[in-house]
Order: sequence, then C-alpha cells, then structure tokens
Amino acid sequence: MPSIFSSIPEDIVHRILARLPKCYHPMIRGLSKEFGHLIRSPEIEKIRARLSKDSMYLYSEYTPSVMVAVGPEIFWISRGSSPQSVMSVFDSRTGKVRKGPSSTAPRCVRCAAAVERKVYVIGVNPKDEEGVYVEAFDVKTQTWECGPVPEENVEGRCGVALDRMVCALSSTLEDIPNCYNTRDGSCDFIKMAKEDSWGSTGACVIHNILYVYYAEMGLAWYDTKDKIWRKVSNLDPLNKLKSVALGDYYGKLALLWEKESEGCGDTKEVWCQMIGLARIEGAVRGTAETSHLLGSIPRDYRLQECLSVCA
Amino acid sequence: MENEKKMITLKSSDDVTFEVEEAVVLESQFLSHLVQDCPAPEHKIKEVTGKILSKVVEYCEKHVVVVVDGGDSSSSSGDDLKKWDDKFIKEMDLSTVYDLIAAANYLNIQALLDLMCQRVADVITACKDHKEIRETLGIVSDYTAEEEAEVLKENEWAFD
Repeated sequence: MPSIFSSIPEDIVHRILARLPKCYHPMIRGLSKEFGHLIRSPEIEKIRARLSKDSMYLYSEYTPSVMVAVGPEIFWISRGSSPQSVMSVFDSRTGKVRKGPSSTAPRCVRCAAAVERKVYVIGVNPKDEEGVYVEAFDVKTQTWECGPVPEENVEGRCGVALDRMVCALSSTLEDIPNCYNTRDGSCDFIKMAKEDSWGSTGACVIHNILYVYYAEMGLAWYDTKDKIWRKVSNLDPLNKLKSVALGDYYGKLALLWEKESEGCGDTKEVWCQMIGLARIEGAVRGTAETSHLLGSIPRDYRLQECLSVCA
Repeated sequence: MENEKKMITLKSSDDVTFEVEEAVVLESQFLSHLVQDCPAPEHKIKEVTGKILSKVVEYCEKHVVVVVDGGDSSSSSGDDLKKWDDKFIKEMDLSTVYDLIAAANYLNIQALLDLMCQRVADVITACKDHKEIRETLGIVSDYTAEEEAEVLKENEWAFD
C-alpha cells in the first residue's frame, strides 16, 4: 500500500510534523529514510516557531526535587526520603499543577531524565545505600514500571538523556559510573573535563548531542566516540559567565546567565544568547546571535533547573 | 439587508450542488478570486467530490466571520468555535482527512488545512511506537533491519 504521504505535498507534511511534540521526532526518523529527511528540514523549526511551540522554564529551588520536561509537561519529583516519592505535574498549556501518581517504592531520588516519553528515575533505598534501582513513569499510560536493574551504582545528580541513556552528570565524581542504559541496565560514564569548572545547571541535549557550559572553555560538546569534551567552534569567548543555564529553543541553544543589576536593587538580570548549531565533519560550529536582556529576577533566586518545554 | 445576501452555487465533481452565501465562499482564497473574476451564479469544482465539498461547506459556514448587530463578535465564540472544530475532526476517518487536506490546499483555506494537519498529528501522537505509526499511516519502511536499529539508537547528525 502506498503511503498517503507520498500524495501530500512536502510543505503540508512539514506542517503536520511541526505539530508533533519534539519528543516524537526520533520516532519519525525511524519511520523511513524519507521521514528521516523530512523531520530534519529547517522548515519544521520555522513552523514550530510560528506556532509558538517552545518555551523555557527556569526553576528556583525551595524544595529538593528533580524536574523533567516531556512535551508540554514538567514532571517534578521530590528528592526527599519520604516513604513514597511524590510527583507533581505542571502543564504548560494550562499553567496548572496536578498531583501525579506516586511510585510506591521507598527511595531517595538521585536524578531523572526522559527517554522516549518515559521519565526514568534513578534512586536508592534509604536503608540500603548500595541498592540502586530505576523506575520509569510512562507518560502515555500514566503508570510506573521498573526499569532494567542497573549493573552498577549510578551516581550523580544532574540528569540528561543521551542516546537512550540517562546520564547523571556530576562535577565531583571521577571514574564512577553515571550513565544508565534504559534498554539493558548497563552502565557507562561521562567524565566532566577535569581542568574546568562546570555549574550543574549548564547542560542540555540538542539533536542528541550533549552540551555543557564550562567557566573556562565556554560552550563545549561531548564527543561520544572519542569520549572527550570539545569546544563549540566559531564563538566569541563566552567564559566566566555566572549561573549559566542551557536549553533547546527551536533547535537552537539558548544560553542564559545571570548578571548583577546596576546599582543595588533587590533584583538581578537574566541575559540570553541564542546559538545556532551545525555539525560539520568532526566539529560543532556555533553561530551566535546578539545577546539580550530577558528580564530581572529576585536577588535571592537560585537557579536550579532550566527546562525546554514544547507543546 | 438580511434578505439581500448574495447566494452562490457550488457544484462538486460528481455534480452535487451546494447553495451558500457569498460570505461562506470568501473563506476560500481560491473561490474568492473565482467569484470575483467570473460572476456566474454557479461554479463547478472539478477537483472536489460532493462528500468532501459538503464538509468544506460545513466548515466554512461555521467559520464565516459573524458580525453581530452590536458589532460584538464576542470572544466566547472563539471557545465555541474551538469546541466545534474538535468535534468536527474527532470522528473523522483518515481517508476523509486526507481528502480534506487536498481540498483545503486546492481551495486555499488555510485554517481548515491547519486543522486537518493537527488531526493527522493527533493520530500520530496516539501511536505508541514507530511501528504503529507506520501501520496507521500506511508507511513502508525502506530501512534494512540494521539501518533501522542504527537510526533508533544513533546520533541524529551521524546520518547527514
């Protein structure tokens, strides 16, 4: 049976695909070579921008928790050692928070990240520090299930999803496994660059490439083949920024940072620079736009999470 | 004024006729030009069947910009329209959706086209994995098993 899409003009297929939440893009790539090509068209991000699909949320910590965005929703799980982990769900479309089903297992949550519309939570039983285990919340069915048992004791607190792995980045750990493969529970590690300092909010994955912001190196990406951090090329020095957050915004990287306001007020400024990314041979080349002031926030605000949400 | 509304007759490819107000026709860019350029009382639309044209007319009649007497085109009508749209697409089968996409594209009714694109997107998001999407949309994969495994696991940019 011929695909109906073969009879639909390409610009209309773009209009359809642009209406899918971004978490569906990997699935679309898996459909066929043609779809793999279509979903990467720059037109998709242009239409998504016209439809105002993306937004970014900054979160200031007042209760210890981990946060994960899946499509238009943010899942918010307490790190605390209560008998059951409490989960709240923020829907960016309505601005409302609801209570999600809590997982029944007792645990202290270490980190979380979303792989294919499942929120994977890595935690330990507070009574048994070695007993690391993984649970996944399936957004589709709204139920919790157990993930494959991790082969090693995964540590780290800043969760990102990369190549179907949950990676718990941490600047303090060295050869300790911090990546968990959601398919089979095998473990691996991503070491942060030793010589440089990294603030735990400056990390995000765009087109399955992990970016972090280092105080000295500036914006860097992780080369999974050579297991090494490489500087994003073609950017003016972006070093020594304070309290940096990174997010995916229509396929570009949004680099956010704090800056003291002039004079002594109760607020500080948040600045933003959008950086277009292109993979050229073995390098990632950045194209920076002019930075601009996003707004002011209370001085006692401490940046905890930066989440990209797509409707 | 009420009685002086200009009526226009649209005829589908299979000769089903629809008598509609001129305002309804103006929802379509294509038909607007047609009506302006050729002031005949009846217009044959060879590319669209009666079944699909009836849907198009139903949509356009609902979406005609209503200017109520007090000049108040109240904002609540926006919500009502959204509900109506939701109902309009909810039980529609995919083949009708595709025909309406083709018709909306041909007649240049952008809002209807967007609504239909959203409907296909909703169908895709209701699928649990790429296999179900293929089955639902009748897409044949041209990946070999190895390629498919790679695509699903590998770096997106590795395939450029």
